[in-house]
Amino acid sequence: MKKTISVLLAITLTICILVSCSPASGSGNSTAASGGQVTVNFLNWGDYIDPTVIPLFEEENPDVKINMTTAPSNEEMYVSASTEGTQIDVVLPSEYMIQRMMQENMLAELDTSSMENYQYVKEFAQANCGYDPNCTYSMPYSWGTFGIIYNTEIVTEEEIGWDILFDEKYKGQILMYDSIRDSLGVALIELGYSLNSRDEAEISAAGSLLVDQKPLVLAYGTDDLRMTMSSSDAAIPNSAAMAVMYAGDAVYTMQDNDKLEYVIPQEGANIFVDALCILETSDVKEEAQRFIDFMMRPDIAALNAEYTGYSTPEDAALEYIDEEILQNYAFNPDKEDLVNCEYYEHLDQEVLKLYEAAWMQVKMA
Amino acid sequence: MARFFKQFYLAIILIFMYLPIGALILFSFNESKSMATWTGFSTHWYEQLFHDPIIAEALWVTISVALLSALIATVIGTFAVIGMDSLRKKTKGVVLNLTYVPMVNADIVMGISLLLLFIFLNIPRGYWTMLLAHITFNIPYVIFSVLPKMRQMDRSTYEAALDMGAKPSEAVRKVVFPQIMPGIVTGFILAFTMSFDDFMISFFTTQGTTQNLSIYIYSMARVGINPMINALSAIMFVVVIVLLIVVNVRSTKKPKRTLQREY
Repeated sequence: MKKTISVLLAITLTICILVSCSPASGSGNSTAASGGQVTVNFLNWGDYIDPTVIPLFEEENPDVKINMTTAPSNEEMYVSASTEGTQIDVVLPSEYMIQRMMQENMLAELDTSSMENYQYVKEFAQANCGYDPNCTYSMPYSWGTFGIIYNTEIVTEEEIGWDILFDEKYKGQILMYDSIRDSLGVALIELGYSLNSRDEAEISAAGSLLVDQKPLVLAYGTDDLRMTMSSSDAAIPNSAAMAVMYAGDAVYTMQDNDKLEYVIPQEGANIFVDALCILETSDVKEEAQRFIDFMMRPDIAALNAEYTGYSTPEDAALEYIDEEILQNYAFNPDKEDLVNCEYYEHLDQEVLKLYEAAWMQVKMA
Repeated sequence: MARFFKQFYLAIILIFMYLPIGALILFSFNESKSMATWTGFSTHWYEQLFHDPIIAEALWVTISVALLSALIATVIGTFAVIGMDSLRKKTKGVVLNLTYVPMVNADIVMGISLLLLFIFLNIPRGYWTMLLAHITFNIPYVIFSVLPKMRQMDRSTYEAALDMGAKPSEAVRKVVFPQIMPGIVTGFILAFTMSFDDFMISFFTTQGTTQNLSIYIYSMARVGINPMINALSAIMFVVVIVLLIVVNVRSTKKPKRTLQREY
């Protein structure tokens, strides 16, 4: 008797699952319009959008369903977007990946004249997006810089530049970023070269500079730097004093520890832009464009900026944003401080090999 | 003294295993987004978790794929074992070794080969291809859980059932199944867990149209893991612990009952 019941239960359970997961399966077939609804597949970064935004869009556009999935890095996004028969429609690559995808004709042209909210992004794009100033292929979604976060009670210099990272005074209190282009980039700027140097001598000089700096470094890290910095305290001897960090991470870390400040050194720094693009292979381009236009609406851009902590390209969005975040320099830096900032350019395989060789030296030292 | 070291050793092992989980649960109640500094007690990550449609969908995909793939793999695997039992010794050896290969094979090889197969067959990647892939890699786990039970079983019980007039299907149902049941249950649970935390194969077989929890958590790496994930892991941990306790309580009671029934 008992066994029969358990068997029956198992069968019911299976049927329940089978029935209820059929709607989820609809999302697998990209454009199969069921009941006049079109699915737009959107490949985002993890935790990079306010969770209320997509339901809002679907409410206003009942004929479109956004199926969002996430990728961990530009490289993985590129693999998913470029595989034959990909079903992805909208992607959010960074500027160096956009350049590569433009070169490979992977991106569809946007019809900016029909996009109501293009006007809010226009100014930022023309000033900052040299790779695509008229938003022909990409709509800037968020941007940020790569600077120094430091504890004001330990680091008391008036003017903070990249050379502070090489100062003997802070031996064992400096945190560096464990990423090849970011770390070598810091050294290249410190030496007065370009972030995108293609010169063998310059790159190896940057590598040697980092090798010399290594005894001063407390640790190389990525995400964990946020934790170390948020517990930075002048009262603890040899506590971490400064770290190189992306602005979005800095915003959150500064909320945890009010002794911290963020600075974009005058010599220049890396600036990045993540922008929404439609893939050439998409067959729901009109709906995808409507979605991108919606994301550009100032109130929506503000929601996303507040949620992610990354700056928005739209000045019109700022009025919707919490005063406290606006005053955070990492979130809303003075535009004049960006003058010397540079984008990463897509480097050739041969140049990348030079970077890798220099980086290996640093890691082995 | 020896006693002290024994207990100390045990304690160390338990601490290593459970301290990280303890930290994870603790910080799921932290007020700020930080995972290093404690700023105050709060349950708002739990609130956010239950209002996040993206996590809800990913969790749903994970659980439904795990249940379905474990169930289907258990059925296929169990019958495979029953079938293999009556093969000749040589053929059986070949089949067994073929079953080993997917288990020792690296996940990434399996993921890519399945991806290539789906592209070749022109099947759009999504929920169903992920399910198919999970069934595929789950079958060997079921087979190797059921197989030892099948070996332990006395074949003559099956033959006796036939002699007493049972149809082969009845004999399998009433004689073979009850004897290999523990193996089947283990196989199911193992398959469920394997599917639940698979990242590599899921990533390649969905290609950005469906995502389960592990894909979503991994993709957060770019902007930092949100403490909502701590909250979710804490809930999953508690559920698993409760299930384990229930199973253990049941199995400590069980021997008595089966004795009574069998005599």
